[in-house]
Amino acid sequence: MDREQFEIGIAEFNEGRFFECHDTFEAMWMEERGEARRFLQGLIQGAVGILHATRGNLAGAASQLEKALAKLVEYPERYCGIDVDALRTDLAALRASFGSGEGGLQFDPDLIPTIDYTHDPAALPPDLSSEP
Amino acid sequence: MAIYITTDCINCGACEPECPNTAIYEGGANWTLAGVTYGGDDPAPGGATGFWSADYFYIVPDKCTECVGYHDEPQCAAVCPVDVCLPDPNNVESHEELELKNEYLNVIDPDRRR
Repeated sequence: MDREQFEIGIAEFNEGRFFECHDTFEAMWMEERGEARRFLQGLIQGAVGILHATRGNLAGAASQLEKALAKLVEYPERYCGIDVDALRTDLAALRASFGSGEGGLQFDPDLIPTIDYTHDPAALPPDLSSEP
Repeated sequence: MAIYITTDCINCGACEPECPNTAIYEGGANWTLAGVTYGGDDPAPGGATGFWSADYFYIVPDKCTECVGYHDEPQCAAVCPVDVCLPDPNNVESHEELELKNEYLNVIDPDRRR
């Protein structure tokens, strides 16, 4: 698994390009067999959940965000340079915002989170390195 | 049908090429079995309805054997990054039933195999 691809996925997430982000992380997830596998899947499901929300599929969004949170909770506050605690909090707030309103379920797009990432080689798990 | 695709499918298409029975179709597409083409409102020959989707990938019940006969686990579920290929609680089939289904499919539609 390589750092450059990982950082591309994070950038895509933070740029609001959630489908591209899911694609990037999915390619990594398909190859990853170590401790980061479920973390990558949590990121994918977080991105896909947000994507569903922006497309008006709040039922699908809720399902994906819940799956994402169930995986991300398995990891420490910071992991692979990402502030996981902040991401969990923000995704949970987004999920909780799916309330009723005029016209049915709505969500607040201002609650779409970004990933707080710091390039920190010391924070890498053994199987996520700079090597491709 | 043993596996179904939920509506939080992302339409990435990772599952479709993995199915050894070509049971997975893109949303909106017609599906085929034993040389016959079916559309959105058509029930499956086995009687199942409501599985077709215009918006998401879907699995044809009559063609899904949960990969029994090919793999140790359903391959669609194994490659799905968002866990939307799930066992259908409304259509539970035993391993033996799935084996028999696969044998039946080999007779009526041997060309379905990927």
